[in-house]
Amino acid sequence: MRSLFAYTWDFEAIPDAMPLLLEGAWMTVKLTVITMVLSLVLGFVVCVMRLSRYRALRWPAYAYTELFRTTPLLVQIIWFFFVLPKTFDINIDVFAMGVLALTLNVSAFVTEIFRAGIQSVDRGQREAALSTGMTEWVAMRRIVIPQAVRRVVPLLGAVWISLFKDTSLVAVIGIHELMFEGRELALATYRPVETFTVVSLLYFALTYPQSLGLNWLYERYRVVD
Amino acid sequence: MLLAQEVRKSFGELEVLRGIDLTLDRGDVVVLVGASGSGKSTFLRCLNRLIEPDGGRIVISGEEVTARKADLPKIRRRIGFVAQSFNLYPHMTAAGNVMEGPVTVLGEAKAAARERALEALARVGLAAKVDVYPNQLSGGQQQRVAIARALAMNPQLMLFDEPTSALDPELTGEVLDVMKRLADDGMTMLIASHEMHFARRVADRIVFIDEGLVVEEAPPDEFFGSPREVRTRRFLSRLMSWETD
Repeated sequence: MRSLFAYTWDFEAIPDAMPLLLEGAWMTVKLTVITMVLSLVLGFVVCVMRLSRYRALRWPAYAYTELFRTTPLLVQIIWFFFVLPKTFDINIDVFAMGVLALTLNVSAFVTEIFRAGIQSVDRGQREAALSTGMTEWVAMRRIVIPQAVRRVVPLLGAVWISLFKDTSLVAVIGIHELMFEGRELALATYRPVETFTVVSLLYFALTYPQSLGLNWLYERYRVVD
Repeated sequence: MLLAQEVRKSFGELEVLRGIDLTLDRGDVVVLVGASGSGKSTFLRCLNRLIEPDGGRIVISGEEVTARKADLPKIRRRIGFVAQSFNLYPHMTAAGNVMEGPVTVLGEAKAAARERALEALARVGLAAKVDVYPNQLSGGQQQRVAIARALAMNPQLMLFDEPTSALDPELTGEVLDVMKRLADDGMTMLIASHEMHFARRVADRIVFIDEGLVVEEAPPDEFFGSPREVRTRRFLSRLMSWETD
């Protein structure tokens, strides 16, 4: 307690730095939106592979989801940063690199959410659809997926929120998002205490409404069977 | 109409069907009876290959169902299937459930399909429930919608897998009435059921299955009056000891 009050807070540098921090926050939003959209697509594709009757599709999908869910995101980001250019001679800018790393990680979770959603739909639904002459794919599209969506949407909301915060990790490879700008500012002003307090508050201010939105989704999509 | 020869199916070590033979002519109403686990449900599902039989041959209206390259979606269109658990699509209304097959499978126009859906629902006595969702319907009503859904595809054969087993006793009557009317209209029907009164009144033949084999096949009077096989008698006496008449 003593140390808290012993420190003299000085927010003087913050107002001038606000535009930069907000720019960082905008980058955070962009990273989140782009990553989420790509992850929904990739997650869907991998999920279809995972549920395929062909082992040659199932197995790589399984290996991918397990690998990316069992290693830390920060490690993945740094790994991509060093390994892609050095080993595969792939030189993309850091933004693309960050999006790639985040997308590969988030897609693995999205895949599992989709899979759980689809498998939670009663098997009798598929049976009923097939017995009226639908093909597997039409039964999936018309009958199974619309029911799976209700269970999946709140879980995707939760992924969205953790992604929004986890984008801060790509600061380490130099993407100018909120955390990165905060670190720059802290170094320039020698005011890390104030700066990171403000950064935290910005994250909170941006995430809390999303959290409320998520609660609304949970209510809205509560499964009634 | 339906020819099943030597239909066999095992799940791992468990031999569920050990070579079932059955023939139905157009307009036949046949009731499959047997203890739970005797293979009735498995057999019905083998007929439209919802379950893949291990062996045997199945022909339905001239189509070789068990052919390696059989066009299953096309074959299944003409075989109505009603399951014990109704399996109505919960995200669609009663009419939506009934229209779904005609629209997505047969490519009918929505307006025409809805028209026919209303007819099918009227036929099962649910004209008043057209725009109601399944979770607002009783079990008996849900099962009647499921029957209407199958009828909307103009099936040549209807398969029923214990259609009243999941219903409260007071709701079975309305479903059996609908089925009786279908039978009177000349529909070809194969019904797995424990409803012996219904079987006696509606069936042309009763087929008793035990341990994956057809033990006895006879018209109802003969089946209930003078069963030939010991196993049939044992099965019936076990049932009758609980029946009041």
